[in-house]
Amino acid sequence: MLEVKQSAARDKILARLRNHAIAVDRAAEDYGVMTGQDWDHDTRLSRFCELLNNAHAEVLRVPANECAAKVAAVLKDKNIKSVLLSQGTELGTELERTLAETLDIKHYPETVESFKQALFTETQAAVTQARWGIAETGTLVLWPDANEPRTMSLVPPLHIAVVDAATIVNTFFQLLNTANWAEQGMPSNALLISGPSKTADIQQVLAYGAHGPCELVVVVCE
Amino acid sequence: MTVSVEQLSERHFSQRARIALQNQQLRENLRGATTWLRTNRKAAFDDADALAALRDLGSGIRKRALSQLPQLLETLETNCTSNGIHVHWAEDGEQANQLIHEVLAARDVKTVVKGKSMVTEEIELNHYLGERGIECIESDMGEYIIQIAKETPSHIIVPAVHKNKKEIATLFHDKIEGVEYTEDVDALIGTGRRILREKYLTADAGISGVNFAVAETGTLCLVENEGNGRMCTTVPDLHIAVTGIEKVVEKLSDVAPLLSLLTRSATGQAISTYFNMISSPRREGEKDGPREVHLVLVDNGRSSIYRNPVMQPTLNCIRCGACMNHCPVYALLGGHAYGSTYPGPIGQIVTPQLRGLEQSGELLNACSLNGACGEVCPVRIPIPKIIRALRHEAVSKEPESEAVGAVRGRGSQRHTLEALTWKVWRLGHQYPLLYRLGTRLATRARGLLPKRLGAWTRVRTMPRLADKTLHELAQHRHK
Repeated sequence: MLEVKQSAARDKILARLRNHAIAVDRAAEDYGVMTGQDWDHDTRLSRFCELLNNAHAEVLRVPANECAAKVAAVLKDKNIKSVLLSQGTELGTELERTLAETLDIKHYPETVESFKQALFTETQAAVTQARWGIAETGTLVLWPDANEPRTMSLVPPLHIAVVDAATIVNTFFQLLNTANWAEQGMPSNALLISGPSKTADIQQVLAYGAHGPCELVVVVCE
Repeated sequence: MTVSVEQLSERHFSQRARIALQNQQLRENLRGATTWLRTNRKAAFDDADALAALRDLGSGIRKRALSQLPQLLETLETNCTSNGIHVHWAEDGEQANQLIHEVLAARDVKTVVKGKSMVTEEIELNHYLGERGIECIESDMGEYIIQIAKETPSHIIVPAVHKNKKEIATLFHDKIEGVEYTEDVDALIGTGRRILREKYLTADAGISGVNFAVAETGTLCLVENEGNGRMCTTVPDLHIAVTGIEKVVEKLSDVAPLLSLLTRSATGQAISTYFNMISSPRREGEKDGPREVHLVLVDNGRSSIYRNPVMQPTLNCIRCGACMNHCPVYALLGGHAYGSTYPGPIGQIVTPQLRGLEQSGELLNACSLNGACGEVCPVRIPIPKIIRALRHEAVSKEPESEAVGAVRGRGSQRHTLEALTWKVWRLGHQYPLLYRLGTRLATRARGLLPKRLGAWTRVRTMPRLADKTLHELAQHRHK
């Protein structure tokens, strides 16, 4: 019954829309304003860090080989006793090696269902990789997958994101085109994260930690 | 007995406006909020040339999408479907509500967490589901606040803009068990966080809107700062996304310019905290994310707007709210006075087209045609032009048109006395003799002018006419 109704609605809607298009001139679209930005690496990096800082994220720059140690230091500073890590990733493996002695390491079971309660009530922090950074807006780009589930960067109150400085690009528009997102095929969920969770819904007063992480720490590996 | 604003339909706009104007606290709250929003937007768009170019590009992208709307909707459906997203079509709100209910009922859903979605307000989804035993909890802080207050949103971006923190503190203390009175915003937000997190954990389903639906890849994009949208679309096992049919864009790369326009026009942010791009349910091997995702495409009158070439640009709208932030009428009245889901300038052109001029035509008078809305619209909707076109329709003497895309209720706002007044005015200015006689008479008989003139003099003093016309004075000067 649902199927029959559906195709009738679909056909009616499409029929009403057909033959009423207003012609446009595609060639007239000027993308100059989107492609003007071409900063050098250092400018990109400092802009990326500054904007994230302004958005209330903590940004730490370290040499690549000190990355895991830095994450460990952050967790220690913030008195974190247990941390959620990814499995099957370079970052996850290295962190596990570094932290196994001092912290309680948590992983996702096969599916989140049996883990949801603990995720919401007992998990203090999670560490994920960011695939790219965007300098124009101070943004991390995450592509959650089987190894690094979506909720890692959403539920625990502290989210630590590790990003390779070399993956920081100028703009989102540039990233979409040069990294060929459309042709490659989109992940189930792609995320642009530009700070800890916030809201100004109460008399325009800014407050952090609305629903997502209260704290975002970005470790930039150079 | 005082009537509350909510009790009057938008047909009684002037009454609603009067009530709103008498509310000093509301006026103060609105002034603070709209000033803040305008200031932030201005700071974010500090390069006038870049802004103009971006607006050109944004409106071009929206027009291009609309020029292929039926094809893009089919492409969107094909790509979403092959990604594993179930796509549904609804001609009107009733169909949409039925559809959504069927999907929820099939999984025995009892509680739903909702992200902010204007289209679901438009079709009154929460109410429909509530009547059928399904609880919908709004998760956006502003929407949560007004849900507790049993009100409707008064702005499309900041739904609780009409309330200040004292009022919200009182609301939380009165309506939520165990909450102490506090005006500390962090504490209030913390209360909301705590309560909603329990709901995310236990809800059977999540419902969201869609900011952009990308046909090229079958991707649904969501803009937010709080994280509630991600919660609703990630934690429960079932996610239903609801969108108007006009929100589709052609290519993934179209999203970048529109996102840049949207966040800066709305709140002056270069980007929102989260930009969430959903292309499929949980894939093989993935550990979280909903295992079932649906997309509901809602028409509800949009195809009529589409079929009218003058009105079609209405559908460019990307729901930024800039128009209402810059509207002097909205800034005084707030959204509730409009009595419709979409307030302010965009509401003035959308609501009469969706509901007909008879019911909503009065909203067209809530306008001084100052043009600020058209100047700030990121996708160049010619709002003042469309308001004038709708006003013309509303008082037209032509018979109601059966034509494709005709606005319903033609002529329904035509009042005999007003029409006669304008006819006399027109004739008096068309014929030089009548003009000279008329102005001469006015100056000589000025003592006979009444001291009161209905609604005009309720808030103004009666104008006093001069004893000589300007033409006479000019003639004497040259003698």
